[in-house]
Amino acid sequence: MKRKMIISSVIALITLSSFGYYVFSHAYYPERAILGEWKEVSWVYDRNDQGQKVKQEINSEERVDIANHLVIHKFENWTFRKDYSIKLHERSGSEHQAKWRLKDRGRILTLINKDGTHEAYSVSSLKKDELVLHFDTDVHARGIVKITLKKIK
Amino acid sequence: MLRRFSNSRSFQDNLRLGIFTALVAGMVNVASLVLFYSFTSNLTGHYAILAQEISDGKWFQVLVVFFWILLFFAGSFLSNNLIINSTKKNTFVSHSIPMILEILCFIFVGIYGQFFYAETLTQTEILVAVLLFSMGLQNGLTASISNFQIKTTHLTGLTTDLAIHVSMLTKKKFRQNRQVVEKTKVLFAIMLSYVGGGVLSGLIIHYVEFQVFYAISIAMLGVLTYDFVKTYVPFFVNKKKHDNRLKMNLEKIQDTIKNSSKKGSALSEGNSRA
Repeated sequence: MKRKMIISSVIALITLSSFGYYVFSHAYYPERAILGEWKEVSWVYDRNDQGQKVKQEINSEERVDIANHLVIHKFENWTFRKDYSIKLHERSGSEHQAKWRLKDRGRILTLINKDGTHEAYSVSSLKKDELVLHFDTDVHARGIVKITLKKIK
Repeated sequence: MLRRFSNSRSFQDNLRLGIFTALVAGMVNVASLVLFYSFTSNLTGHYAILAQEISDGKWFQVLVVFFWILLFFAGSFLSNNLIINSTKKNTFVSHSIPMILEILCFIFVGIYGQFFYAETLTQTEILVAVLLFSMGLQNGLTASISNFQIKTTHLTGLTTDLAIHVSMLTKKKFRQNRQVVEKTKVLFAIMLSYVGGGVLSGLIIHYVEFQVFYAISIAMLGVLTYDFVKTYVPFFVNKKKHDNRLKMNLEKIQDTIKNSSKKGSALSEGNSRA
């Protein structure tokens, strides 16, 4: 009886470990999918004004107002690199370097700036050529801002 | 706290066990939320995420969440298996093994997090898996030894039970029922401890980060030591007293035999003289 129990425990342990190894050796999938250069295509409020059917675009001035505590409002292109560094840049040549990390199975994107500050964005969707990020604003009546990026490289 | 099993446990035993383990669960949950953006003491959310990932067709994400749930299950299974296979002689040992494994999990997360964690997704998922396993161990242990009276890692069921008990207390006949009153006290204490543990963890986590798991481990070791002392010290003290009493009784018997044999020989000498 005791021998039977030991054998079944060992089999269970080996099965569980093998399954865990398989799962975690493939779990970097979202980290691989996010690599490359992305370009912002839209900034919209997630909630509409009463009576409006089309999502309200956020213009560049408004972006500064609602995201002045974040670095992202200054840049349109995001380049995620394999070494977990990110380059935020625009055509004029100005750029910002930071570190990126994905948390919670790829649902949270955090940017770690050189001064140690963290910025967290919710990854709403990560497809082959489209990345949709959400972040909460102080404009609570409007709610969440949805940023859509398209992969260009 | 861990020595007694099932119906032989008193209200005080369950109260202490509930308060302590809920405190640990609350601390671990908030620590994992801050460090990994993921809950580790409850599974309800993970089941919802599993369903969502299945409907989205993200199969590797499904496997990750399924593995987490499986590890929580394995932890509870292991705890209960150790308890139901224990004998009367090794109750304390079999009850403390899940807690020792839980401490080892916390120490692993603490050391790995402090010295090797580069915040990659795979590392995060593995550490969350280890914490879910440890919470499964704890929940299995507390539920098993308390005859399913105490569950400290998730508060949905607890809040429901508490609401039911409070509503029962609105009637006089239930207020006079000791069991109902005691159960309400235990549930309320667990709820407060869970929140208290979370608040404590939230206050210190930004200063100590992964070292919070060392603090939890030390507290758990303290409880194990306390229980060990309570279990084995009286046994050794009583054993010594018992041995001394036996020795004294033996000496008394030997003296009585000696005396009676002396008396017997004196009598037989007297008889022969007569």
